[in-house]
Amino acid sequence: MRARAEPWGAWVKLDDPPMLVGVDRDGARLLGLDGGARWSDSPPPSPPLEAHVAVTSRCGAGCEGCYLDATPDGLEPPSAAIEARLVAIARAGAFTVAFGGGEPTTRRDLGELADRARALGLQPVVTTSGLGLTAKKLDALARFDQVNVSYDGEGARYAEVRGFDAAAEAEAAVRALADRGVPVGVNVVLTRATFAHLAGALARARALGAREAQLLRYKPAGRAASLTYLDRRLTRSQASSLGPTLRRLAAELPGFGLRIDCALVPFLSADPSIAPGDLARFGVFGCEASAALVAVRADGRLAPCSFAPPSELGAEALDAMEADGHLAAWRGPASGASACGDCPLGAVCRGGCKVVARFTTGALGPDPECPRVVAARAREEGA
Amino acid sequence: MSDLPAPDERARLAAALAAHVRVVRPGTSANCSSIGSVVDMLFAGGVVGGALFAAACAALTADPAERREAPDRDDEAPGEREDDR
Repeated sequence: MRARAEPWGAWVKLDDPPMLVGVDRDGARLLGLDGGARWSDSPPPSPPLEAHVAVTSRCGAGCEGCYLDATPDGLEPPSAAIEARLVAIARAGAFTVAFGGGEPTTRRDLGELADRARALGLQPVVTTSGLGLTAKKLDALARFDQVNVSYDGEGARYAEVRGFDAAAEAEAAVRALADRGVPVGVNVVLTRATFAHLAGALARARALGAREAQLLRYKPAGRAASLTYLDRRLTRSQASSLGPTLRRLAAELPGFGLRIDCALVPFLSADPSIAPGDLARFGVFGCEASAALVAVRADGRLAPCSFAPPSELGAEALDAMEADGHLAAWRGPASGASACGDCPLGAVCRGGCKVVARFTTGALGPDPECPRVVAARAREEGA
Repeated sequence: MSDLPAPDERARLAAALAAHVRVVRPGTSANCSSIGSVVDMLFAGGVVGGALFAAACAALTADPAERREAPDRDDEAPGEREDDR
């Protein structure tokens, strides 16, 4: 296990069972931990828990909604550059590094980079399209603690999100990884076309050997930052029904892990049966851009998250990110939102997805698609 | 925590920790684009949630903790030294 002091106590990262545990100061003392400077009256800033590293911007899939606008001739930084970024992430005190891209399996050194991350004390995980996997690429993926395969559903559902049908290939990747004993999950992008078919997609993924599904809100970044976003995003009705949908899926798929991404948290505000305290107790994260999360672009620049525009600060200066104005602007909860002020989920949600807010309103929040924000604005317009 | 406690001591420590565990964030997120959180626990009821916290307390006593320090420009990350490579 690895532990990191925080002003309120400490985070402890456990490998078996895999979990991140937050203990208060007395709990940390019971574990023999001393908070040092973090428990002083003026603690240093807390570094990210998790870093998302684009190890390439090269990808031949050509997904219509690619948030990075990855291309077949995209930038592929040399191994030494990636290693230097991993060192900076480890020195900052992060626990987990998630490799992405572009398509990470285009790199011949992918497995070695996973090993390097682990040697630095980081937990390496990776997301892949699963397309074009060879035995050698499977070997490289098997060196990660978990692999997530992008999979939005069978046939037409997959094509509705990505613009082409490669569902069978993604399914083969899930099965091949599971057969090798690699912990595998699927990333499922929610659009208004796929939302109604979510149960089928998850059941199929589970049958193929996936342990969990990560549900992702469709976001207006990269090639998705266009007017088509407005046609593909969830409808208001779908957004408001996320809580009941998750409840039903949890009942239908016992033992199968259900995850939501930070951008979906505001939609839970429409479900009064969800206890806000439970979100905090179970470590559900809303917008943690530039806070618990930081992203490293393929060119080495730091970004608040993978969807947000980058700073000019390079990853090697990660320990100076607190002072960067661009990163700081994305760090705080969305301000000036009357709907957020008394929202019971506010402390966790932190104002919703700033990427969506920036695209649709030009400001960093509040999230204009949050059911509470929609209702508040309707009241204001009617007043 | 420098040494692994004996089983009885582990049980006592786990019981003592129960009042001090504030957050249990289960699982391993492998998504590279946005931060993910397990939510099926939200619908599983108090018994399952309690079991998760109990498992966390037990696991916290199972291994010595390797402390990750606050960023210090003079510190080296594990494996950063030449002889770790």
